[in-house]
Amino acid sequence: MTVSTHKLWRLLGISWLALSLGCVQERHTEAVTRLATPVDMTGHWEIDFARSDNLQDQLSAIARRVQREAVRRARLAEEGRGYAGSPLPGQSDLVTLARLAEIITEPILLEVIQNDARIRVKRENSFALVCEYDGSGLSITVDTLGIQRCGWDGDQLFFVLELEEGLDVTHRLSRSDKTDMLLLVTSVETASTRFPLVVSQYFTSYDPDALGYRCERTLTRGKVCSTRQ
Amino acid sequence: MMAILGNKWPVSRPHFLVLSLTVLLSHMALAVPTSDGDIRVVGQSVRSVGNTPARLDVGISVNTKVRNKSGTDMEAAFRETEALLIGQRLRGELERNDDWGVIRLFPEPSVIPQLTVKLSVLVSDGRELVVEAVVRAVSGETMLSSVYRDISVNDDYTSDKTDPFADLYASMVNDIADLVSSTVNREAYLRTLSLLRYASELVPDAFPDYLGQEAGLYSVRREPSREDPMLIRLHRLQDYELLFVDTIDEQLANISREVSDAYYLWMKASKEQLDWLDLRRERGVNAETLRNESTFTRLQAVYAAHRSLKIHEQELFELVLELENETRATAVYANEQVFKLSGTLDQQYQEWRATLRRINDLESTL
Repeated sequence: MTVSTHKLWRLLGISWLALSLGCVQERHTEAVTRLATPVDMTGHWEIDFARSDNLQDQLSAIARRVQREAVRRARLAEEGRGYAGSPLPGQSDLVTLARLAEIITEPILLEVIQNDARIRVKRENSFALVCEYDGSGLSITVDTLGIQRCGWDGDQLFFVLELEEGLDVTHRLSRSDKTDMLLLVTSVETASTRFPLVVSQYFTSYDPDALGYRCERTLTRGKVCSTRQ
Repeated sequence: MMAILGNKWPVSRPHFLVLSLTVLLSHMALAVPTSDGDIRVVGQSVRSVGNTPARLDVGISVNTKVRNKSGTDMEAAFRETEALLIGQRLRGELERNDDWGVIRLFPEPSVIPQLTVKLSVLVSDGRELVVEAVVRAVSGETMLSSVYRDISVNDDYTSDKTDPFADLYASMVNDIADLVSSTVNREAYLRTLSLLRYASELVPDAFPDYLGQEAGLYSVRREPSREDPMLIRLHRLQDYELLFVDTIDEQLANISREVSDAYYLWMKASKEQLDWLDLRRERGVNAETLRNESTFTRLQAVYAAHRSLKIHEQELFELVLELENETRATAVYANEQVFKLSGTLDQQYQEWRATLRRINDLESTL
């Protein structure tokens, strides 16, 4: 496989930028490793509960990981070998993490609007994930409460949100070639628990007009329903 | 609400040094709008009281210098629309007084009105509005150049959705009215000057010796005859230009109506978030308070605040984008033809002026 000089430079640029950002902001460890190859995710999507992760199961899984890590550290201590890692999260930390993840992964309907310059993932009862891209791979927006990084990592769309108080939220969206499905993987991490809680949610395509009417909720107009052909 | 006026310099004639100072001070105002220096507190609940003896036409043009915090095109589009809303707002405040002539919002500073108000929005976040206003007569004389700053308080956001920054516009209008009242009534002279300047811009060789210009100031050397065919044609072209401005004005009025509710909610949400952040910073000093607050409560509050502002911001931005797409085309009926214009407001204005030049060229060869 041959890679054009232009693409190579672009890859180097993206890597350098990702490395620089990593140095400045230690919380962000995710780097863009692949060239952007955007895929079309346009459409309306509804959650498939059967395939999606159960939050309780994910919490149990992370609790088991923490327990295993505690046993490993205890063994190291017994052998006289110290461990210089961060303290393990307690039960209340994990419950906090789970409660936050529940709020963050609450939306069950998505609408993706996409063009060459911008993608908007509108989420029911939450804010839209918006990414504007110019092909350089990484887009950074700074808000009053935090920083958002987004872009295409290969054919996956990612959003990394670093909020105040050490709350980190990552969303990764990918579309399955074989089945008409959208996978949204959300990772939630807090400063006190550097064990991310990862929730995978599968969405299937649906036709909002199939019912013969469509409702939209806006702040200024409230819930507005209209019939469409 | 509390309006603060930053008087940068008194009425002065345009000069390079003054121009440099304008640029320098406008940057200073942008960076430190609260600097003590020569800021004057105008007071609360300011009411428009000024009387203007001369029925001068006023042209408002407005641009935005508000920092695009998110760096997105959506925010940039929103800030452009916000600038138009602020221009509309000032127009509304001026129109409360019947003594003015016609008040229009122009896509860029124009020589058609006898008085131009150029606004630059420096800060706007729902809690604070900082606007620079430069008022010039068509003679080129700078009559006012000030930075106005208004800070909203919680009581300003009431259920009847009145403008939380009403004091700023009232102060500005009062200042403009005071200045115009204190100068000699030169309405007829300024109208002639306006037409000659318009002629020199659109058809430079129309009345070359009639207009005097020295150090950026314009004067009438000779008055053209009222029956001069060129003058009659220029009057008609000027009417066509105003027809375009009025057509755009209608569109802007629609935008203003469509966006005003969402804009109000965004301002309110933005102020709430900024106040909440300040409160958090204050409470951060108090370790006891932090101990009493659970981690979940703090993190949940952070996420909720972020989500709330984003939801308001996105609804507003989407609305602005929708309206921007709708208003990209304008049809103007003039000279027994329908002209279709497209592109941004500035592009349409330039296109229309080029069309007017072509009309003039065609008619002058007949």
